[in-house]
Amino acid sequence: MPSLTRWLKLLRRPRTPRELSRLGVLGMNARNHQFVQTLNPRDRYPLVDNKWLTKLALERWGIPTPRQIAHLTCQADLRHLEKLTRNVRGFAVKPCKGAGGKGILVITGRKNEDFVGANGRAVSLARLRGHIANTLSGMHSLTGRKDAALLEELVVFSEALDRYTYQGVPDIRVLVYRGYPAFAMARLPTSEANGKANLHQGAVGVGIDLATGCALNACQHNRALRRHPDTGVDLLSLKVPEWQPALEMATRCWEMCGLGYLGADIVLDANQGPMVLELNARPGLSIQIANGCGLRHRLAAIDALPHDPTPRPKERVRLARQLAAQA
Amino acid sequence: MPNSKQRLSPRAELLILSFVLVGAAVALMFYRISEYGMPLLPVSNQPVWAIGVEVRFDPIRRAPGNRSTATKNDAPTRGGVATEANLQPIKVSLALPPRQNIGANIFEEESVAPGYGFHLGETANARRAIWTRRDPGREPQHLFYSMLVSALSDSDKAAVESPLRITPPVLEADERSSIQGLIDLARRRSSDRTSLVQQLLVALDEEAGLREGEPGIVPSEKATKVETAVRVLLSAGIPARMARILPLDEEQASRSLVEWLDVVVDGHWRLVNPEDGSFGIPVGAMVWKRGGSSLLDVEGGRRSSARFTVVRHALPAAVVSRGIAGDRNTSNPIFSIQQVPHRQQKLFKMLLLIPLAALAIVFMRNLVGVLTSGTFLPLLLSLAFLETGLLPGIAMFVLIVAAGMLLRGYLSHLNLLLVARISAALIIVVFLMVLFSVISWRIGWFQGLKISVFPLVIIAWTIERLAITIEEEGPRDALLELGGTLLVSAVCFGIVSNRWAEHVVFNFPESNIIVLVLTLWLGTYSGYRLTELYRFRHLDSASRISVTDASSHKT
Repeated sequence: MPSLTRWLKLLRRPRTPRELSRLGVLGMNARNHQFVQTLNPRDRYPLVDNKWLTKLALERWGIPTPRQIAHLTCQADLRHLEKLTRNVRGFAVKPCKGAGGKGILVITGRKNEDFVGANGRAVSLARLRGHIANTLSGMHSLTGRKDAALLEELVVFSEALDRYTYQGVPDIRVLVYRGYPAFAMARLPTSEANGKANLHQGAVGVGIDLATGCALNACQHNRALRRHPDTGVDLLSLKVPEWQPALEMATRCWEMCGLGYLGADIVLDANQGPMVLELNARPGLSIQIANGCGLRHRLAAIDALPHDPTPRPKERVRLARQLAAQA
Repeated sequence: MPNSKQRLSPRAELLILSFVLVGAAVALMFYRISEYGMPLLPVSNQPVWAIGVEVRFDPIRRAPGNRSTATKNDAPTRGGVATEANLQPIKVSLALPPRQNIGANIFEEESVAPGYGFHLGETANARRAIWTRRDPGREPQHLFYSMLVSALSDSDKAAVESPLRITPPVLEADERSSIQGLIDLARRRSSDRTSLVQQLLVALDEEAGLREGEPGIVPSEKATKVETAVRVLLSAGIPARMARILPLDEEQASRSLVEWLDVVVDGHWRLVNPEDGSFGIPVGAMVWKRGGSSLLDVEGGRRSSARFTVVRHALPAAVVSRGIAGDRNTSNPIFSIQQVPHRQQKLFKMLLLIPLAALAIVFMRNLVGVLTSGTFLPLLLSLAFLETGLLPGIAMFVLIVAAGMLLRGYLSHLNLLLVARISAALIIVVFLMVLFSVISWRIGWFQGLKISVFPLVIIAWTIERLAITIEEEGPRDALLELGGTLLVSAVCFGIVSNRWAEHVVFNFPESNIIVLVLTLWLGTYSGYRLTELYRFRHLDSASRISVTDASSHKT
């Protein structure tokens, strides 16, 4: 019994810097200083921060991504909204310069006159217009300035992750370091997060082993957990299908945008397989908690891999999976 | 491609830069300490007050064709009228406190008035500063007079000159009965001259409270309370005059003197506080003049005013005076704040503390990891809290933001566009502030009146951002952000209100170079934040990833 309480106490108290360092945890200051500021050239940010530019680049490079329906740049474009969405079943409206999941409105279908939102509630055309108008005036953009809105086809997510999700679209975040996949985690929406895959709001993060595509560890709100709070499924049974193609397209994004510390968000479409949803130049540190492990050691190992010249994407993925298997 | 010059690493550059900057700053500080005896710690018991008087007026244009003011010594104009001759010659006379002063020990007086002739006129009991100039130009004129004051004494008794001449004022018909009424009332309620004066003041207060808007002899636009009291007392045959007091505090940037009553009781002139009728020396203030002629006379000018600024120096008097005297020698290149007009000195006191507060913000963000709503909002809030006090200020801020967010909640129903909604929030905030001020005045909580200093636009934006954060990330994140903002602003407040910090940055402005260097170094800190030690506490202690080839690398 004494050892149990001591073990419990050990779990709950904050770590000392030395412990975190030994665990290889990457802190925000270090991430900004040594990785983001040094490896991500500032002039490449617009390509990644602006969802429309990202989509154009993905399409040009032949990297699978949800189809673009419309790119609305001014209030006058709202006139065409009805016509544009007439033949589309489900779509997502995204602020081009938004950060995180901010300002994204998901429409899953129609019901009489109205649209149906992600949580099943009705969304009128007026409300949709209002949301887009807000977006255009910069409400959800990073800088607060004028923005554009991107309408893209909604992903019908594959059944593989059905049991692990509560509404919303689950995605897989792959951290690509100098072109090599380093870590990966699946973000699963929950009811607490209102159907969003946002870890801050209560979505579940599941660390994925690069070597196998299987779950390593699961967490919610920085704390480990075993079962999905809504569906009750054992999270460690999660396995990502088509893992190799998913990793390959993530690493190809490095060639596309030239950012050395990159987060690639991948979704699994039921019909089209893995697709890149968006890219992130400042990927967060929760991926460490989802994997139950610090980033530093893996990043150091990748530094030891060849970089001059960097191998082709397939080879890079192979090397990265090999690294993961050795750990 | 080989470089002919070897570039230093950024770290080495920073190190060299810091050494140079800190070295220069420390050398300058050392010079000040050794050469001027400027102490590093503020002298708390005997502050020195630097008083600056600013006299402003507009020169009067002489009426055309009026040559009567020209003297015989004027040179005849050659062909045409010279423009300067259209302006009257100026003579400005300002009453000064006598050297043997009640409540203060005066030293280091100085006049700064370029283009003017200056001399001190001293008569038996009155000193006046006199500035003269023949052709002042058209612009509004500014004349400065400064003095250093220390060592308040504690007796207010002033000798009555003999023979004591009082001229009873000439009363108009409608005044006579009211004045007599007041005198009788006060006499009935009092037992001696002291209580008579006090009861008179009380009666004047009552009249002012009862008869607002009615013409009478009570305080109105025609006469202030003290003027009225003097008039009444003189009519009753009691020697009385007006005294002018300068409160020695830094509450206001530039102010006029406060009127007090001076009455002869038991053979001495005694000062009376018109607010509460207490006799004795004003606390924390200096007596500028008692009775006598007017405070400020300007011949040849109009719309004249005299504004007083007080700056507190927690320094030994010798240091302050030496600092000022030393800087007047132009060979001395040391930049010193004491040279600058007093209004600007007060501004500098606050400005110079801002770098330290900014350093605190960097510290709280990068080392502690507190997230705030906007990077410099805490700084602005802390400056506002200087006026209101920390806890009242926080309470007011939270109240206004909460009220604003409730109202904004309704606005979001209306589905307005962004800019319109922010503007509406701003208007609502203005209304809330006015409402708050009025309510707090009604209930007697005077701290609430200072709410107007809060940066309006910042509050409107904060309301908007917090509302969005609640909508998108949940109330928990919004509360954390708000709490973080208030925490950091409390820290900044601790800095900008700290006497020792104020003393150091004001008297050693170069200390801010050290602050700059510290900020630069904090910017290079890449270790863990305090909040991260908590955030990652659940990570497994068994490290899963082993380093396959952890040889040192170069990117």
